[in-house]
Amino acid sequence: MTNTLPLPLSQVTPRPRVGRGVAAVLLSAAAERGDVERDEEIALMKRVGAGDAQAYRALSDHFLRRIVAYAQRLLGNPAEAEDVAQETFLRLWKQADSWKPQARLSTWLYRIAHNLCIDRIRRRRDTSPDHLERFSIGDRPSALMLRKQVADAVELALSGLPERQRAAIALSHYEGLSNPEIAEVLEVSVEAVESLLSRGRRALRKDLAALHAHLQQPAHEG
Amino acid sequence: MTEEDLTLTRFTELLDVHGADLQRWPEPVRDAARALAASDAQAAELLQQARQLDDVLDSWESLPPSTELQRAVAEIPLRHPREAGAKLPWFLGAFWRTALSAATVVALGCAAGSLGNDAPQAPAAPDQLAALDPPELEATEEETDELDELMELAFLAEASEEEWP
Repeated sequence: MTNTLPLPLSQVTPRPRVGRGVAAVLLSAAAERGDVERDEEIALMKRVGAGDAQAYRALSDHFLRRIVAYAQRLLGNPAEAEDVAQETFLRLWKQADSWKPQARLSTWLYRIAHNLCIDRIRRRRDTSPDHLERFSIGDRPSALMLRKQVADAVELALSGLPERQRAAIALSHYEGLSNPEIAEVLEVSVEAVESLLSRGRRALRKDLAALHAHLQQPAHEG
Repeated sequence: MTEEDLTLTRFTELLDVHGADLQRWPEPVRDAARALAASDAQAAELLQQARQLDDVLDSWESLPPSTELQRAVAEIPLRHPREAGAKLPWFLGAFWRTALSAATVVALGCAAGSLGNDAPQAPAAPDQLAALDPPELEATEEETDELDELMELAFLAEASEEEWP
């Protein structure tokens, strides 16, 4: 029942895309719209492997925002997420030779970032106890306050999920990856991804049930 | 797949896996899912709940990369310079290293074998010694020089190997 044909990222990602077109000389018009297609990926990565800084810049401009966002979803800490993103792009620069064109560049980068995040989460767990607190929403919060509180509640609920469920939800819901692409990033089967997503969504629905009533109130609009 | 084939249980499973955006569902079940949600109140309610979850998740917006991060990422090639084309592909490097080493060993072996063959195999009779040809002795010296050159080449190869990553 799953989509076994990996679609171009542009077709599976409905959310706003990144692509500031800094290296306009290198990228085609399609790339500037945010569609770094497969051939372009391969060509640019060959150049990065040969030490071409402009090709590197084109790719880092294209992928930076997505890698930062993904790391934020996993770590829940913007500063740490930025460290992970920087390390991810350092590896892109230094290890471009080890990228195999069979894999999408985006999934390769997500996998690097994912592994770096997991290392940090595990180190964190070793040094500090899990101190998740239940979220609560005030009686009559302003619209802005409510929005912030809902976001905090979502962040907290996601951080309470097991690592792989959190990663699967982040890659599917926020990054718009298809299930086969998520399987590639997490290095598991597509069936395992479906199971992770299913368990993750059920747990989130349960954890966030209290928010539904608040979201129905007109106060949170605008 | 028709609406009849898509049970409510399967519809719920698919909602959990793919979320409320039916466009992200497998193409063969999309129409059946839409039809079921339109005709079955329970399916419609489940879809609505899934949409609420998606909406709630969307409320957590990620922060864009800071200016400092953008600068640091852009400066990576400057901070970690690599000379274009300076590095041989690993297979080429390994191939030439192996080939050069093998050639050196073979050449040394041949040279040593050649020198060894010139040594008398058994004590020669005095008349046989007298018959030895002087040019043959000169040829042995040339081969000794050749051996020296090969040794030098081997050391050079070893030295340049260290320069390879």
